[in-house]
Amino acid sequence: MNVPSSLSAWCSALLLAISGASQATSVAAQCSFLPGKWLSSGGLTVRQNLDKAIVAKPAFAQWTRPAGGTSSREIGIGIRFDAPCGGLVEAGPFVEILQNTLTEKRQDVRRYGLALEWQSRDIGAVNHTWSPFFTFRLGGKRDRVMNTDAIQINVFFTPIARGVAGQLRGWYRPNVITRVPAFGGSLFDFTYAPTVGLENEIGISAPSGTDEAGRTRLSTDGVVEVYPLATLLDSRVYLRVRHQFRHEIARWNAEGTRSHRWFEAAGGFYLVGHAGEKQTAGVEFGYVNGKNPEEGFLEQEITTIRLVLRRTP
Amino acid sequence: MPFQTRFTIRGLVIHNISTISGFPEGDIEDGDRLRYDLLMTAAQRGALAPGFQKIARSFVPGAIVRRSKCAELNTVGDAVKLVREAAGKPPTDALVASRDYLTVSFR
Repeated sequence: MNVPSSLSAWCSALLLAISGASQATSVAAQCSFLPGKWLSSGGLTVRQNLDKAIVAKPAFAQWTRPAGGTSSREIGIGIRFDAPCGGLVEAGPFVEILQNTLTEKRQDVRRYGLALEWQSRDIGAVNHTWSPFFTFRLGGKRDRVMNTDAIQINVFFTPIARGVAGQLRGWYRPNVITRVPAFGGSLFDFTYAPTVGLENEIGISAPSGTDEAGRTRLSTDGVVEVYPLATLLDSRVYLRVRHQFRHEIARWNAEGTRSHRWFEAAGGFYLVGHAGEKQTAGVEFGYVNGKNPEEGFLEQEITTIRLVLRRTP
Repeated sequence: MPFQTRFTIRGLVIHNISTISGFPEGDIEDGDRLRYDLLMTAAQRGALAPGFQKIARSFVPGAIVRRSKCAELNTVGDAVKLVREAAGKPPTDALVASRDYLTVSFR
């Protein structure tokens, strides 16, 4: 496999970023590796997938078998078991299954590996009003539609800022809820979460006759959520728009377009509870258009309506 | 504004929530919901963990407060309960050694 020098440069940058955690000693110091603590500290996370959407979606599985037709499945499960780290760090092994055979362009991806989330500063401390938040992922990816295996090394960054009690003067702060006031309540609440990242994929096996491919992608991900009449409706109604853009800044043995867009619009309302509560039930309308090569989602357009039940132990 | 933080588990938990949410400490009560009353996103709730862990470690060195658990917190009362459990369940009005806490609160 012909690996270009940009990969080694990228790896150097990654190592630099990680060691730029020269406070990395503090990362290690946050974790305890006693086996008993792994079991007792309750670090199990289960959800649809482990990306950074503002509303964490519950895991789901659906199997459909029409009379006289072939059966189909849609599964979205991400499981992470975090080591007993605390405070600024979460780290542990993960596995994800993303499968959709309901549509003509199928998605069938397994991902597994180690994930580390690191907030480099405590924004509750006196001197820090915001903090970088990094997500590192190292692992394997098996795409059963393309019949390929790859190693993934990903780094994502998003800023987290202190809030200003929902006041308009803090509207530009990322990962903060801003309230637009009207009539003594809220006309709408909104929040946005920007993420930039580097996704590196190194092919290790592919169908015979083709070469293993490798890619380094620069990715951007923007999520905006709006809660209309938030005080009147107690934030039970939401609208979410998400746009991802990926561009391959380096690749080898790879073909096809370099740039990929992915757009999601969703809206819903909670019949029981709210997002973030332990038990919720609601209806969500969704629309997706584009391609997400990171998750093996091929170029297509999908509209969905779901009844979502969620219970957090 | 007069200094109003009380150096108890509950007082410091509310201080930490106040710092990150932007709401004054005096306006925060145990029944307030972090997401809907104090307008904290999941990322901000997760960011409570380092401060909560500092409080818990005033009682139990090596105590762990996870980001993911903080991100799922519902009310201020739940936050106090989480820190108390990590700290070995002392009373909510147990005094935290202020000198030690102030030393770490600048980091």
